[in-house]
Amino acid sequence: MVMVNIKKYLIFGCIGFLLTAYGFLVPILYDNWSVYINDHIYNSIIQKDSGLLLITTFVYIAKYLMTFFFIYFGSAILANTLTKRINTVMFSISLIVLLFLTLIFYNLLFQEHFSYTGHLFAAGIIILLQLYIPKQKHYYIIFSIILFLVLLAIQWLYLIPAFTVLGFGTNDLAASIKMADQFLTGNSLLNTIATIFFIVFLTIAIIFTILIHLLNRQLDTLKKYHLQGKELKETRTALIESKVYEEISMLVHDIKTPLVTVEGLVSLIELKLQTENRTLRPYFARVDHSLKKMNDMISEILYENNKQALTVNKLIEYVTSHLNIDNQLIKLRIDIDENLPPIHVNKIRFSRAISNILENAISSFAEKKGFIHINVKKIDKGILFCIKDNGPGIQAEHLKDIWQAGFSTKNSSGIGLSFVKRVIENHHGHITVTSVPGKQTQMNITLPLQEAGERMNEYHHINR
Amino acid sequence: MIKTFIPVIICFCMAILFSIQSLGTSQSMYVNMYPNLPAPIADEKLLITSAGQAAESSVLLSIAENLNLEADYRPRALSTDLYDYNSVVIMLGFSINGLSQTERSYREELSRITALVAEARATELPIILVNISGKYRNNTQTWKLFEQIAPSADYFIGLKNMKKEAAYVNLIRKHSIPVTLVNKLEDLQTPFNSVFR
Repeated sequence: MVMVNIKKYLIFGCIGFLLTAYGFLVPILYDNWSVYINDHIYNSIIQKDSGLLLITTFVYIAKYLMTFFFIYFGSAILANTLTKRINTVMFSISLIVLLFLTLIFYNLLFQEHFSYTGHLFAAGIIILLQLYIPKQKHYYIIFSIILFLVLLAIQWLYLIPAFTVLGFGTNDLAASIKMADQFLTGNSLLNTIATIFFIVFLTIAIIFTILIHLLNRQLDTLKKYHLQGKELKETRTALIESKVYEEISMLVHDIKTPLVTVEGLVSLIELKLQTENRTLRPYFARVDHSLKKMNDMISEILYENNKQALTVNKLIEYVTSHLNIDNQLIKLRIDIDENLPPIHVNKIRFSRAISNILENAISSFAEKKGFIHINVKKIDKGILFCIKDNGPGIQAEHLKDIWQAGFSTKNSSGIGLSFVKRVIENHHGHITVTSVPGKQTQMNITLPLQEAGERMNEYHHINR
Repeated sequence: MIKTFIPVIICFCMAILFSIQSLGTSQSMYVNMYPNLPAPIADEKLLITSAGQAAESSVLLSIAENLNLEADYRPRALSTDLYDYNSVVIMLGFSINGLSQTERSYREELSRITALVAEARATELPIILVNISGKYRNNTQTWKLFEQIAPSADYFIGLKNMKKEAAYVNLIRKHSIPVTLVNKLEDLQTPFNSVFR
């Protein structure tokens, strides 16, 4: 992780250095722009053409905007590399130091005699505005737009002759342009045009920053609301779910009392009739067996960890016997590998889980023709239950939500699949879903083999 | 919270300090000067050349044309070109961009000006030194060119409120050269005309 970060900042630093270096190369690469500006200043004076001078100012603005944009942007990236974090005072101070070192070097190299007043003013505005930019993914895009607008405004400020006395725009070409303008229009042209452009671009930069800042605050509030809403929904669903389970548990528990009574009364009747009618004995034995089975089922419902060894064939038979598809146009195909080892499950809960998946598939057909394929086979370290249907499928955006309690696209309680997931996980298995909307859905349940399952179960009990 | 604004405050405070300093150096001091020359000191035809190759030097050609003076603007004129002229007008102002177009170094430019001034002195041609970029060009290169030309100049015309005004005027005074400082560029016409008429 540390290495990745070092590599990231190294690349970042290189980009910053290259951008700054490119800023230095602009006057060399675009030397013909300087020649154009010089020639046109000369021509505008000779021809007494203030229009030509105005065109020259646009070329001047373009040249220095490009030069300083790269220098400022490169310095900001380098400052970020040095300080690692943007929203610190150190970042701002590093930016100022790096920027002015670069500008001093630029002045020494090119001898254009830029005064630092304008750059101090520009740096102040840029640092002030960047404090209000959200420090997120798109920080540098927003920063570059603000930087562009502020530098554009500052370049126009350099061309306002009235501010020359304060030290703005004392560089070579700006001086020539302002003197030519003084000769041609008595500085009224640039005092007007440059002031307007300066105010306009600076205002746009400030408004843009304010808008971005407000938008970000609004998005933050929305995110908070969304998160709170989600938490509220989850709490509500969990509450409903727990209440439903609590009531079911109580109901199932309450069934036990009359069941014990029935069991006792059956034993009493058996005792009384034992001597009189021996032909009834097998019936009593069957009633007794059924009562015991019912008792076991109740125990399995009440206690999750009540598990038993069961063959896959018996489980699937149990599930399908409770499935109501006789009156529907659904074709059910079951393929179970031979010689599968028995599974160790809570029969009632695991069957209910499989039933939930099958019932979801059946309801998705909406009484139309459909095909469900249950395939159970042994895989590497477990048993795979593959349940596939050719229903309408699940939309990709819903796939991650289907396991959440309360999520439903059919106005149901939305606890069916969350129950399935919980049961599978309680059996140390896992479930995955793949779906092609309009074509098919496939649920894959993997259960560990009996030995492994048992061991994990023991571990689970010990650690409780 | 205030801590985050410290760098911004530093930048703005330094910008204000630099501005105040700049304001202080460009205030016009009291100078005992001529509004224009009482009698002409030079004849036409005049050569207008540039010392430093600043683009605004052509302003003087435009003024000369307005005044119907017979003048040539040759920013890169050499000492050997003086044979055809009766006076020399040197426009002061160092421009790195202007100089890079001539493919000459600053040292070569300084040598050209030194040779030109020496030749003008030798042939007794009057030298009129003009500096209109004093408010903008506060650099050592311009000052060195000025130091080179000023002792041989016959008249100095400049704009008021230039940087290092005291230093310029003191050097001019030292060599007893008449000085005229004007408020605006258009005011340059009167003293410039007085040189020839």
